[in-house]
Amino acid sequence: MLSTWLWFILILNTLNVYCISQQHGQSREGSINADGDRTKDGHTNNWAVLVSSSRYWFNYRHMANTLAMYRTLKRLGMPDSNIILMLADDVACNPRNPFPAAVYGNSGRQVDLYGDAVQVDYRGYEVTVESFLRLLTGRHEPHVPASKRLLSDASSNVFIYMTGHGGDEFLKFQDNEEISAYDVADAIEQMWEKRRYNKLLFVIDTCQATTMYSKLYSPHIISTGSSQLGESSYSHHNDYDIGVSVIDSFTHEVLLYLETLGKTSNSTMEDFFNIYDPIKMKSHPGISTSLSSVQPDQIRITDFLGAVARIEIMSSSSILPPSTLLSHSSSCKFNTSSRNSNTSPRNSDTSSDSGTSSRNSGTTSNHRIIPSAGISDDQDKTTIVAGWEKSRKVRQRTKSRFSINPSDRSILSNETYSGIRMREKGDSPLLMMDLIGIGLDKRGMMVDWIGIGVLILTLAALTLGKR
Amino acid sequence: MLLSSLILTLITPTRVRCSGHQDVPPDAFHESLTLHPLPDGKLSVLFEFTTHFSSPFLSSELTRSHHSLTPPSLLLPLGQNDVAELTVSFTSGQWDRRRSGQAGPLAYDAGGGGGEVRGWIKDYGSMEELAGSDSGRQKLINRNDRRRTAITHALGGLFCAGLGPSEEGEVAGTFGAIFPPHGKLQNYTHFFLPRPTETLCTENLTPFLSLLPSKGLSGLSSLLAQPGIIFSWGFKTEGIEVIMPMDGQQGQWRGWWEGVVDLIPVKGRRDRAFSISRLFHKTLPRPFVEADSSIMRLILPAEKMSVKPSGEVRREWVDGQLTEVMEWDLLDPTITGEDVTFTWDGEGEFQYPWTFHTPPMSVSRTATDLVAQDGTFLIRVENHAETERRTIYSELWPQWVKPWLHEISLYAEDESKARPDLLTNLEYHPAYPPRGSTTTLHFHLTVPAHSVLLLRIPFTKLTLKYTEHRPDAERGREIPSGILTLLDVVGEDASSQTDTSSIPVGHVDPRWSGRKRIYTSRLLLDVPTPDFSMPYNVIIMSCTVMAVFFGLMQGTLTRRVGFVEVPMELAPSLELKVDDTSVEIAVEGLKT
Amino acid sequence: MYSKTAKTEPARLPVFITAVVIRLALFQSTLISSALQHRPELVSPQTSFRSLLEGVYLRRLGYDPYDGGTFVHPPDYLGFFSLFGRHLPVIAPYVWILLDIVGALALVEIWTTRSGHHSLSKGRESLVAALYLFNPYTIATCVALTTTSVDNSLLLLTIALAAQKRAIPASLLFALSSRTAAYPICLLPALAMLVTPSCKGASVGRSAAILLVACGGSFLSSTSLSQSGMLCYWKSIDADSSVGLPFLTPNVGMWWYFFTEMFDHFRHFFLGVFQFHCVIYVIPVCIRLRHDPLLAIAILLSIFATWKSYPTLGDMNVPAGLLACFPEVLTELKHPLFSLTVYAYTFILLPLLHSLWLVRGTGNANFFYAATMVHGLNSSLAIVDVLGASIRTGAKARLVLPAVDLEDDKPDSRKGEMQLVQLLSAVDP
Repeated sequence: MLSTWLWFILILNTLNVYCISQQHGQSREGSINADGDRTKDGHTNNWAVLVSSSRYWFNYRHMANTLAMYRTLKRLGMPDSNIILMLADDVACNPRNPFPAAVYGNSGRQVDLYGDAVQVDYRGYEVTVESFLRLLTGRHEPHVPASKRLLSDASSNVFIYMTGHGGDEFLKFQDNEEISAYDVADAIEQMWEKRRYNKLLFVIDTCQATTMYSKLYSPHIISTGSSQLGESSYSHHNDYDIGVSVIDSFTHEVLLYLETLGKTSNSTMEDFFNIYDPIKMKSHPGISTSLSSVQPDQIRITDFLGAVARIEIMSSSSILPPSTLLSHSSSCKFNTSSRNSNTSPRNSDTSSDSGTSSRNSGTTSNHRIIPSAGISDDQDKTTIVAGWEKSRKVRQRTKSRFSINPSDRSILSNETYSGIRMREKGDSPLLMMDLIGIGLDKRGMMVDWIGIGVLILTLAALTLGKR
Repeated sequence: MLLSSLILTLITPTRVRCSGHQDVPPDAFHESLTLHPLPDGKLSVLFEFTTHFSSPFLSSELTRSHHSLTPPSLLLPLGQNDVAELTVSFTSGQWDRRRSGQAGPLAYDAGGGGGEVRGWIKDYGSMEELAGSDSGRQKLINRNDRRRTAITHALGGLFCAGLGPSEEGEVAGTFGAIFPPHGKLQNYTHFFLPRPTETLCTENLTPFLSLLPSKGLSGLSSLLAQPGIIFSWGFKTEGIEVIMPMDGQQGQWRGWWEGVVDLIPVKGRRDRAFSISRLFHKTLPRPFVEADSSIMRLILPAEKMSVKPSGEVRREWVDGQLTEVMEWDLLDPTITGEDVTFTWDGEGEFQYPWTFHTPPMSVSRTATDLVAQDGTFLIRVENHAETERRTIYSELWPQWVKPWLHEISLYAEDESKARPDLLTNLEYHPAYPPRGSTTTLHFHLTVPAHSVLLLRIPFTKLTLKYTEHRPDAERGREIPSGILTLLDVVGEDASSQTDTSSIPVGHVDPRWSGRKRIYTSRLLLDVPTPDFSMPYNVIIMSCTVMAVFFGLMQGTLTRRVGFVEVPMELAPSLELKVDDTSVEIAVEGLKT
Repeated sequence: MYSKTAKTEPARLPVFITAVVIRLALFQSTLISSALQHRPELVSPQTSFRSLLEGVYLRRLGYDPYDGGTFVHPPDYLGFFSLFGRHLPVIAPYVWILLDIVGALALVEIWTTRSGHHSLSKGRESLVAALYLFNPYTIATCVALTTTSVDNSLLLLTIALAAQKRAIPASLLFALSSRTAAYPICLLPALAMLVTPSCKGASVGRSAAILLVACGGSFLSSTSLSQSGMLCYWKSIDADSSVGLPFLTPNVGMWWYFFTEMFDHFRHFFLGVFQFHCVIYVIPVCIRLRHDPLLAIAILLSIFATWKSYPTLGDMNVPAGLLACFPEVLTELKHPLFSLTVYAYTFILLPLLHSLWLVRGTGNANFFYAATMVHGLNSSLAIVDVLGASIRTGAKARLVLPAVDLEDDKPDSRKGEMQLVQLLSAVDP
């Protein structure tokens, strides 16, 4: 009995130390830069939403654009669990694809972008404007699994990449519906209000792309697009064996640059924007940093496109009550998304989450520090960044990601992960009908008919009155 | 100190439970690779990975190593939603029934086309003590529905596919007799959700491999972890079947992957000779260390084959036929890294056969009399065996397909006359309008020996709303496969009870098969589509016609009619100034 | 009653015999009959013979026919046609022919009641019957075996009884026809006016009350007496497609394409608007045509036939037949030839464009929609024309001309000609 207990303590200690040292190493690497201010942006985790909104085989290049971005993100250390990949069609296993289960982004076909371990979160008919907006704003049905949710928080840097066919202030989804620039702007504003991001990078490759971010109004956004209003974005080149264009010019040039970066790169967004060449890209890319508090030369590319690991240690004032201590025996919590999911935490809270979220990412072991359960008081937490180098105050958090009611284990997904409880089903916008008071449901029909009766009588009275 | 005592209280029961379960056999993992040459120059390759486990929960995790053979990401959602048995299958490509001589793939549980989730889930609605009042019962039924939705969506998330129902009530509950449970289950209800639009691609293979204890890194699974190779094969199916441990019985979860390879390359060789390295670009891998057995099997065809190095030959019933099966034990270290070559004796060039041996029982479905709004399903059930077969043919349709039950007819093809006597029973579960639910039909058919039955089911397609159509509406919409359930199969294990030595190899007895169900392929139906660019135009034009009518009616109803005396010279033109008081008028309603 | 009049008027017999022979000949060809049974112009989900058979079959199997959504006929039809059992397809043609004859006889009765028994009316009786029986819409509806024929005959009987001021039998039939089809209930005020005796002391309100009470009583009693009872009726209301429009099957009306293309948020609002639009005319038309409730009924029926949720061409039969009873209105029409030719045109255009869309696949939904628009617009114009003509005839018949004796055969003696015009504005005489 005693030996078991000792073993347990030992394992916990080892993990703590491992976790801390890992962070220490990584962030020290990250902090080597000229002015030392670049790590100030204060994010602890990275999320990415990659959208290819076009259907049909001839839009192969949009899938390839997105998958190339996906591959780059994974190469820069972002785990699969933090990348939401939306592909509106399945080109890899399309019967027309002469290279089954492979997608190439160049005519030489050097790199199979689909790879051996791709995880597509939304595919085919699931990619709709509605699902995209729900993803951003986090207003899901309760049964939506964690792998289809953007579980970002106030200290997440979010990267959104979209590609497809678009026009002035819209992007087509599935050749069927459109998302407008206003929809995107409002969704991102909701994200900001719900503290779903710290900083946001919005990249879009479509015709008249800059119009898509022209309506954004939320803070801390850097956005860039492939072409100006009234200008088309063009594909880069064809592959004659595949028979269609394989990549778009803007994305191609961007990827050529990103290929030169590594996980520890210190290149800034300014360096990224400097590679823009209207001749090579066949269009004039746009950059908007007006919403950002940080200038592009003050923020690294890997702050968005990589996975930054940083540790957060709670001050003693936020020690959990004993009942929760049982399940969180250390104030430093960790959620590993390592290859072997058998190391999932054993307690009931987190295991119920791992039931849905432990999709094995199969990438680098990224320790993402998550705010502890039960912290919803007003106390500021001391965040110790980069191995106790600095401490700074973070925004007051109201999130309680793991606040599952243990009695409600039948509900698979955690519906209260966000500070604002979702309105189930009732998320549809307020209809005009509601406003003018005409009931739309069966009960409301009664009201309708009474109204109609009154109107008939009025009409009759008018007809009579004329006589 | 407080902390340590708390941990002690936590661990104590765990240890007790662990010691209490020592009589349960330990978890075990078996893997096998089956090669089955088909008569049309193709080869069916089946991977099977079976894990036996005792407890789905991680409560005893601490006392174990980090490695366990069971994938918690799969078993936890099942445990939480009280799922006793579960099957998920993905199928892409079409199984060629006529040329392969087989009614379906060797993976007997594979679905017809697209994705499919089915299983047994605890039925709170049927529990008497809980279902006291009507409202309470309704609540419990809703809870059932919610858990079904939750589990299907969770599996969809796990397998990178949209497996969950897109509308409420889409999960069918009437297939319990078609997919009976493996164990004895009480108060459990069946659920079945085919998703014919799903495809099978790398993103579905990735989670499959990660669920395996060998993770696609060692053992037979390392042969499988090559999407570029295996997805270039023709027919493919992937799936898992989970049976949760219950009442002291060990649980089991089995994953399968089957594909059909064309052995004759497009260019070059014309013979069927193949080897492991030619198939997989790898030699036989090192066995997975935790594997309790690792077997490669070859189902020997009727023609003579030479295999090097050869394995042990056994006789087995395979899909109703007594065949010779060659087996290699891959745990044997001498075979690791070897390449096994398979050649057909004396075959210079493969002669494509003119005729094919037909499977004893097969079923196919086509849609005839098609206009965009109506049609007829023509189901053809063939029995080539010596015996009469008892079967159930099942259909599951989305709510927009409506059958005409009174027009259903059953014919025997050779006699070309109606045989209503062979349709012994018909179960009809209509879709409840307006939305979501599905129509299911179960036909209890008796198929006489050596006969072909034709079942005609006329149907109507409802016109869908603009918003209910898919983005590629003009392509049509898939409807799930039909399922022919054979009620009289006894399974392949029956061979152990009977003496097979006296029966010649190649003997066919369709009852000794593990194939309980035969699927038709999924079907693409044309639907009447509106013009998707029209909403505003239609609204404007229809409202205009309505407004014109209303205006004219209003004008006619409210105007007065009267006699006016018109001077003769003005008579032809009726343009009057009515307020001209010199004209005498008589107006209706002004008689006084 | 009818047999008596039929005997006294042998001139009608050839008309009826020819009508029966034509129908029998058409039924002989199963090709024509089954083709017509699938025509969306003649058949709606509510009136289809195919779904009636399905309902009867499901009931025989022991299923609830209303569950699947294929069967939305009223329970009365289910009960009645279940009596025939599996012989229904064989017997149905004869029943339908009989129904048409009954309808025509009722129409003749309406004409006789209306015109009185003088010699002029006698000569027209066979014409009225012929106009109804040889109307191509009537023949097609009969051969397609849709329950529209049943509804029509019930309605004509109701009107005939009401015209004869026989309130109780009229209200019983009225209850039945409002149960079998939803819209006839809106005819209540017009029927009440029709059934009210012209003698003094009779008020429309009283007869309306009589109608309503009798109607409700018969409704309740028949419902509770019928096998499946109230539950069945409410189920049919629930499944009833008239209000909620669950079926968007193409038909000749203006609804289906509108609600196919309608956005979900506005669906209920526009359902309300469209239903409201159908019933909005009931009171004004009754008030304006209070001098002749029969005309009001004809006008209202033609409005329903054009603007209801699942219209078929057969719905036009009753108003068209009734119009034959108003020779004076027909002469007053402004553009009868135009209306008739456009009806003939759409009769060809509708099936043609439907097959281009759904059978041959060379056209799209807009083709058929365009044809239904032409049909709807033409019907609308014809209705307005008839309404205008009825108002003018009414005025002509009842106005007292100052200083002019209408009996005077010499209007030429006056310095001007009296002309009936629509007055553009109110006048203060």
